[in-house]
Amino acid sequence: MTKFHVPLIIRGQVIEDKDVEFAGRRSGSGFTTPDVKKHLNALALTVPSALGDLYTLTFADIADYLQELGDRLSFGQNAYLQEAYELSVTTSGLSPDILKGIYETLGQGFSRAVVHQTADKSIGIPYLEGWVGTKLDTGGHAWVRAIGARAVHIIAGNIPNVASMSIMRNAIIRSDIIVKTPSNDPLTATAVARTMIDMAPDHPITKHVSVAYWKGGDKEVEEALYTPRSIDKIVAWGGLASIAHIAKYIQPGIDVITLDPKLSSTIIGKEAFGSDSAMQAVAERAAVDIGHRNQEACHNARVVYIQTGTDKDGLNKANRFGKFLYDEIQKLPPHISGPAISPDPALAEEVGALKMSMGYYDVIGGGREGAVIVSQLDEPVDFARLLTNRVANLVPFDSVETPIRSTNAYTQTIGIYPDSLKKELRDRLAFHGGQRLVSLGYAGRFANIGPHDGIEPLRRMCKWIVEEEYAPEQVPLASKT
Amino acid sequence: MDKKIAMQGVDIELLKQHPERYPDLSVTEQYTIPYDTVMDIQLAVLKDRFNHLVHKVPVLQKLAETQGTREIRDIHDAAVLLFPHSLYKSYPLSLLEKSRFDLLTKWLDTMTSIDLSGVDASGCAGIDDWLDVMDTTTELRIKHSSGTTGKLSFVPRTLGETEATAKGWRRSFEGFGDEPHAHALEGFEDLHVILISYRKGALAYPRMMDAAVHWLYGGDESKILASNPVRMSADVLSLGGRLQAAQAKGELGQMQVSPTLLARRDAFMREQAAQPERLRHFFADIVERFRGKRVILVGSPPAVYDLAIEARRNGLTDLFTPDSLTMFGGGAKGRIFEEDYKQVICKFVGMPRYPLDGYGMSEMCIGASRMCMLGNIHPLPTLIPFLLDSRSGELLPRKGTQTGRYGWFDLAIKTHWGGLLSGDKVTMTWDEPCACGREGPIIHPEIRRFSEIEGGDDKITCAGAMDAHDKALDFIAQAVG
Repeated sequence: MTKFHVPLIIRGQVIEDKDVEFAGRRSGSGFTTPDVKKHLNALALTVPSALGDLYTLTFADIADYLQELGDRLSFGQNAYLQEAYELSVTTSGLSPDILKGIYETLGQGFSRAVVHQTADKSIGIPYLEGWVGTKLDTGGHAWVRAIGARAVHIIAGNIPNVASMSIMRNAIIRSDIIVKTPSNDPLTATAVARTMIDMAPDHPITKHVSVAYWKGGDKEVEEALYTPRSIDKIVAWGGLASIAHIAKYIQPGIDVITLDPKLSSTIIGKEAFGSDSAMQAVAERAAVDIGHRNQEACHNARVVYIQTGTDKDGLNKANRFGKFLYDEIQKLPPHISGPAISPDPALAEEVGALKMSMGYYDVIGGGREGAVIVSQLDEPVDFARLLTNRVANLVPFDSVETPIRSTNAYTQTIGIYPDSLKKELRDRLAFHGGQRLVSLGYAGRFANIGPHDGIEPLRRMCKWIVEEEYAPEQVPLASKT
Repeated sequence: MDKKIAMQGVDIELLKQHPERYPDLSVTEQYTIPYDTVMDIQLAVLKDRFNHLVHKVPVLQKLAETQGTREIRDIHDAAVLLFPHSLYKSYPLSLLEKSRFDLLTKWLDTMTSIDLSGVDASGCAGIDDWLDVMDTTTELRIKHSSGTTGKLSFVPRTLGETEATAKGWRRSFEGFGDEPHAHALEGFEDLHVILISYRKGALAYPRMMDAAVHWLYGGDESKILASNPVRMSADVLSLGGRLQAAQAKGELGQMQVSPTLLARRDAFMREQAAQPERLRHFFADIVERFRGKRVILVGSPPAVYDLAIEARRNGLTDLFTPDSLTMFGGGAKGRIFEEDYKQVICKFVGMPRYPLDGYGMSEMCIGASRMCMLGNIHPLPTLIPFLLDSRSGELLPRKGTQTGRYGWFDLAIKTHWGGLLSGDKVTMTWDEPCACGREGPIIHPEIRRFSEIEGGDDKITCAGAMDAHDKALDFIAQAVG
């Protein structure tokens, strides 16, 4: 098996040593990489004013840079991306077809249109470009600016876009990023950074990107890095284990932004079940939300609530819809979805047991192609958290209270049909913890206008600075009142 | 050893009719039967069981139909009929949470040939209650697991079947041929059992003691002295599992205690408060009555170890005779021992050597068989072993040395399907008999769980059950009623 090499990148410098070796995840390829411990002094940006060079740029300069970078991240021409793809094929839960589709479109995330919309809708370009003034109703003036920060991004490895998106966001907010890569995707962020170095080795944006792999929880590295001397922010993707590692470093001066793993669901109203043709059309939309990128992402539908009713007639409809849905999942094109690459044995066993058991679940499919489990009670399966590899759980219900009550802080996206039902439920779903409501079939498409997991991470990644101005003639000193 | 003499007491035709009589034979006799003959018996029983149960156990009928199995012609044919062990917990967890024990009974009815249609479980308030109703109104003596994530599996064993369990347990102390413990059962009937565990409940140890009292001791409960004579509550254990799972996911704050458990809170608290005193009493009792005597000592390694440490603190060592019988099953998983724990336990008992490890599962009717002196495990002739390819699920050839997922069919189980697929990765050698002299295939001692190999394992092992139970009691104590 090919052994990969992952260089360490520190602000424009590529360090190629092969000090240490790590095993890849899912028995995929291992890799060699420099020992980050030897480079801790260089990795930490202990002089915050070093961000100043980013402030010689205009937003237009940044957008130009990112557009050119996006062009250079063309999969056919970019050997770094091709290598990242080759490694991912051996470690990812995604099929080679899906991965190729992702890498082929990775550069689009840096396009002028995406960059402009992200910056303007998430933060407001004037706040990034300069000090935005306001006359205070209570007297005096104030100016606000979003200033960059020094951040470590501990990124997730389920989808390669997380790496490229983090670097894009960092450039927009004029920050210094250290990407801590995951063991199952150590090369995508590296590929983007190396492309930047080839393109513009001395450019300030290039000089504020570092990419490193160390084993999560490595005390020596993390103690040196996770202190207010070295960084201002930690952006942590990943679950409890990742948070548990960094929790002990939380202190005044370090802002931790967590982007936890989430689960997503679907609510389909009774309108969908009037006729076979209606069911078919809705199944086609639901299939995309379930099967897109093989259900590896947070936004994928897993539990699908369907308002068929729970009486005998309702269950018949639910089981019939399950067959339509299973067929539609099978029809998804290979660059979107395909049979499981490495099925989760725990899930396979649960599905296998339900397929044999009687009374409470109807299971359609069940092999590597995925499955649709139709609950015969108005409750999800007990292993709903494990659902992946295109295994969906249909839960019939009578009243919308059932899906509303099942929504909680772990619910990211809720795909809803029809849109009128979305409008009807949106406030209540939001109260219960739902974070994103979207037309059925479009869970994989993101608006990129700021909110993500119920917070606005881009705004959080900035430091928000206020300048205030008062004159005693207009605003008397406190001692004079 | 003369094999002819050893075989004299063996009636092959009887074993074909009544394989549950195997434990009437000595270990030497059982393992001296040529393995071809053993397989003849196995096939005959397998055919009988299938023909009898396929129309009486609905889940078996469903599986046989799915697999297109109409009859068993060969041992191989049963490989596709092994139940995943999760089948015995394939009910919706909400049935327990909402006290729908009528529906749980219906679910269990699909697993057993015993007719449960007349059982009225609608009034049961909790799992313990339900188990009591089943114990008193049916032949079933349900055995439950210690539970993953709080979901207990329920295996519908009958009182009749536990005769083989009791006798098999007795045989498990005996050695083969001229091994040092070949005559360990001399005087067995006069010995007392010291049980370092809960005496009551439906977990493996209490159920085994129930079987021993009923079938070996003529109902004489005084033969057993338990460190904790009360019940290990299935309700509390289930809560303990859910707590542990919630803690692992960082969701402890969302856990709630059901009203049923809260209602029993005071009783639990009284029991818990009384335990230190009971333990002192138990200690005094064993010292006074059994010091220097030969006993049968039974318990999981963590429980026995804790007791041994307590004894050492009180200056008590070499408590019993060196030829005392010991069974420390259930595994040490979940507990990190001091390296010398085996010596500590040996010193406590006063035995020269730690007992040979065994390998068995609580779903088996006749459970563990011990390693031979050479460190190999020999499946009992009552078990048909299978190895399946861990990826494809195909049966691996029953020859040479093979590694795969271990499955078995237990001939002593009559009222539910005796075939089960474990989660264990096992290596077997089929055709090179062990130098110890036992006939038949051998299981290599290195056994791992697939879930551990894949990473992460939230199963509470038997050894961890007491701990989970106690933690749950603490949680109930803190819950505001």
